[in-house]
Amino acid sequence: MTCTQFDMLMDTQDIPSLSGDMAAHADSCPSCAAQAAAYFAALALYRLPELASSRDLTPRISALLPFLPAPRRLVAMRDWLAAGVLLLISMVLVPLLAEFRLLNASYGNGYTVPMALVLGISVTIYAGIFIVSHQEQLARLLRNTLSAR
Amino acid sequence: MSPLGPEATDTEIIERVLDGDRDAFAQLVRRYQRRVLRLGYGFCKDSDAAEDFAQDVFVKAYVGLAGFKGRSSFSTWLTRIAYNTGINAKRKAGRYEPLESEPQDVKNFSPEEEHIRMETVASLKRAMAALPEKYAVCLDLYFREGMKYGDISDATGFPVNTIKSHVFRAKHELRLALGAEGDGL
Ligand SMILES: [Zn+2]
Repeated sequence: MTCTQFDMLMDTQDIPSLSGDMAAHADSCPSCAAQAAAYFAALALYRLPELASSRDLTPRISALLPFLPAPRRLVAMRDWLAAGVLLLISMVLVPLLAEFRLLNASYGNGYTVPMALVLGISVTIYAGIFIVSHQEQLARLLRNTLSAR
Repeated sequence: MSPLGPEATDTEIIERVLDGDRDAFAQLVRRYQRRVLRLGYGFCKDSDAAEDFAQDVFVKAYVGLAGFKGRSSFSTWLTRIAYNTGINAKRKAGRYEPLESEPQDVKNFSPEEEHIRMETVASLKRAMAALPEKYAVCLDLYFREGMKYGDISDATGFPVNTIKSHVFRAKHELRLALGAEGDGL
């Protein structure tokens, strides 16, 4: 690598450290090495300053929060799961109801088919809305589970 | 709800806030107030106004938190709010500029360090002055906040290539200024 090439690459350099060919050139060329070091030092100094004198804003903002509308999901994941469990339990319990047995006795087994259809459709609608409305959360959950492995 | 540890991810904290734990939001404020304050200072050039700016930004973030979809990182999403707040605000302070002098009690620089720092600020200031304000902020997001091109693009809505070309020119100018300094020594 020539000094001119090094110079051009420095302008496109994104990370504050030299890699591969550039590092090799800097090792053998004190002038380019000094130039790169000056640039990185300048950036580091520019990034360093903190508004140290400014107060911690946390108490000020925390004090405001109770007066603001609380951010809520349309329906929280927990509520959905609770609704799902309730739906499941009611499906299991329906055949045990006295009314169900009464209907069954008068109309016979043909009655259970539309009944199962209605329940099936409601479960599908529930699951569909649940998945659509929680897509991002489910995706995050999946990502976290996969990355935890 | 059990308290979140200091190592909790932004996503975990956000889930908590959305589940109704208002206090968890403080952790996000603590984590990102420096960046928001620095941007506020660039827009307002005054510590009090920068604090009001930061408060405004965090309030918007809190109220709109359900709208955070996790497509970018929370810090990028928050930077977008700060950017829009700064660009849209009617300000007396004029246009966005890099932080020139720090408010008191900042780290003490050696004379050489202070000299290099001022040189950097001056050349970034020149680079920013040559650009419309909406792009000038991008230079600070890159040089000072160390954000990646893609994240700056997410935060400001400008194409990556536009940001890259402005950064490229500023970087060139900065390196020229530093080079000229070095030659003079
Ligand atoms: Zn060289």
